[in-house]
Amino acid sequence: MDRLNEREPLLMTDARQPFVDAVSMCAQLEGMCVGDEAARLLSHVGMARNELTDDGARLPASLHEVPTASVAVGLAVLEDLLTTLIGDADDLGFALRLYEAREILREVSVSE
Amino acid sequence: MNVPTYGDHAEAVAAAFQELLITDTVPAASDDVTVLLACREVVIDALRERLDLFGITPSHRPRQFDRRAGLAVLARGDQQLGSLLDRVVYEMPRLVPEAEAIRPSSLLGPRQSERSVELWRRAAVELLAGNHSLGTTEDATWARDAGAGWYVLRDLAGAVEAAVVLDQRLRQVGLLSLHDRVPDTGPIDEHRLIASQVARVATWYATSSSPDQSTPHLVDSTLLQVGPVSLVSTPSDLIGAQRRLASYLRPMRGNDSTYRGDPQIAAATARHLVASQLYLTDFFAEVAQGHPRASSLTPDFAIRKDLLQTIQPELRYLADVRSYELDRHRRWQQGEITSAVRRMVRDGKPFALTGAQVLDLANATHDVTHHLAVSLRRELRRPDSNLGLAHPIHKTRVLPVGQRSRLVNALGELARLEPPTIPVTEFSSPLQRAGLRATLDLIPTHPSIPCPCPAALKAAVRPPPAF
Repeated sequence: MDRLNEREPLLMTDARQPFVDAVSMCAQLEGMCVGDEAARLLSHVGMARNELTDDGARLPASLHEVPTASVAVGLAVLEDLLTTLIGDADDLGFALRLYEAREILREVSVSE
Repeated sequence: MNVPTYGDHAEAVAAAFQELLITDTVPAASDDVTVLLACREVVIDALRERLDLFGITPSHRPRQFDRRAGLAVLARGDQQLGSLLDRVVYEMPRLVPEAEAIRPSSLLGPRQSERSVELWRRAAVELLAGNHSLGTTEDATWARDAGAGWYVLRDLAGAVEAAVVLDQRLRQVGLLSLHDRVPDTGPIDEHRLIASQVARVATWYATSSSPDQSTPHLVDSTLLQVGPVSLVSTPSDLIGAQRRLASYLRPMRGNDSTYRGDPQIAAATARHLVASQLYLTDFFAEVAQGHPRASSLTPDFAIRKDLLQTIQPELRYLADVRSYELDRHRRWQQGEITSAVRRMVRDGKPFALTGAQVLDLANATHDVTHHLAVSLRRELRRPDSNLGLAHPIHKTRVLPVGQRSRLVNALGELARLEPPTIPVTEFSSPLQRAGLRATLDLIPTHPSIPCPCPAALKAAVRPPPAF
């Protein structure tokens, strides 16, 4: 019932390395998606990050820069990280969120 | 499904009146006359209803009508012209209500065999249907845009003038002799002067034909309002959902008495909304591009997409200074919209919207992006802003966003974007209404031709002697 209280802080910090890496990779990709062709990729990475962070309720303990050769490589790394997180997830709701994030990324991978 | 628009109904009304004016016939059989007069009553009621839509209700009608002052209003182009038109309709002779009057369903339903009666019936039905389209349309451009409002008033004035001229003919053959009349009714010439002048002035200011695309709203929006989220099951539901989202994003002002100093928007919410609206504007631009009647709206979506595309990378390290969980309505509504659109795209369903609906969607999207940009910009520029940049190179510090940063500038640009303009005359070609106008301009009020010269001049000009 408390979850329905809209103003109650429900934020939590997640320090697991794959999670921190995944959010950092999303931020890195958002910074790399420039140019006319990037709009669709950018929006999908942003929406995937939203799912990954559970609408902003799950915060990474820290962010770090992830050296990435290209956007395509970064997307592949991010998908691997999401797959790892899905395998490790013990919360069904969060697992569904992660699954959705991966689906969003696959949508753009297919259409690009 | 092809739903008739207001423009279709207005064209049908104009065609019926035009034929009635040109043929100038009155039925001989008494049954036909009865039906004709009953249909005429419905026409007058429909004209009154249209005036009511404009907010000119009977309660606003003055008890004592100063005719001289009223006519002076004709020189101006303002809301009082509608009141003058209302006066003309109000002064039309009316049938005394009788218990055995024909029921509307019996009167307007079956097609009439006598041509002039059928034309009166058709005019009545189409006028009522036009009122319904205008009154229940999702985006009432005629009510919020003056140029579109004058467009509808022009049609109304044309219909009133046609009814005045047709009334004169019925009066000449004695069919209106038993009708009820309002005291102090103006002469027919005055009525026609008012109607034609209103039509002329309305033509000057009728800069948008967008009302022609108005269709009755087929889906009861109240059925889809579940709690705080407006659900999306069809493409047209997106309009209401975007409007709902815009209402949640409306920013608070610092001097508002109810504002407690809370952050206007949280970092995660801003990132979520910007990414989702970027996805949506990109998709809507494609929809508009492929739409036969709304391709002119493509640049409007595209410019929003470009600005959101500039903004999103700047938000990648945006963080809340203090943990703050703003209300979740925004995220729920945005999530519903995005997932519905993604589902439609994935399933390959046709994104069927009329031109007017795409325009409505563009306006709703403008509201969302405008409120989002204003909220975020206001929060970033607040002295005790809760938002900052947590870039990895700053370790654990959250630094304020520069007042002249690329992010703030782009948000300013997005906030300053004008709402989509209503297309001028792209969608319609009102041929029948133009025909009715031309017919009215040629048809005299009285059968006998009045002399344009003063009486003295008439006496002075003697005919040449006959040899």
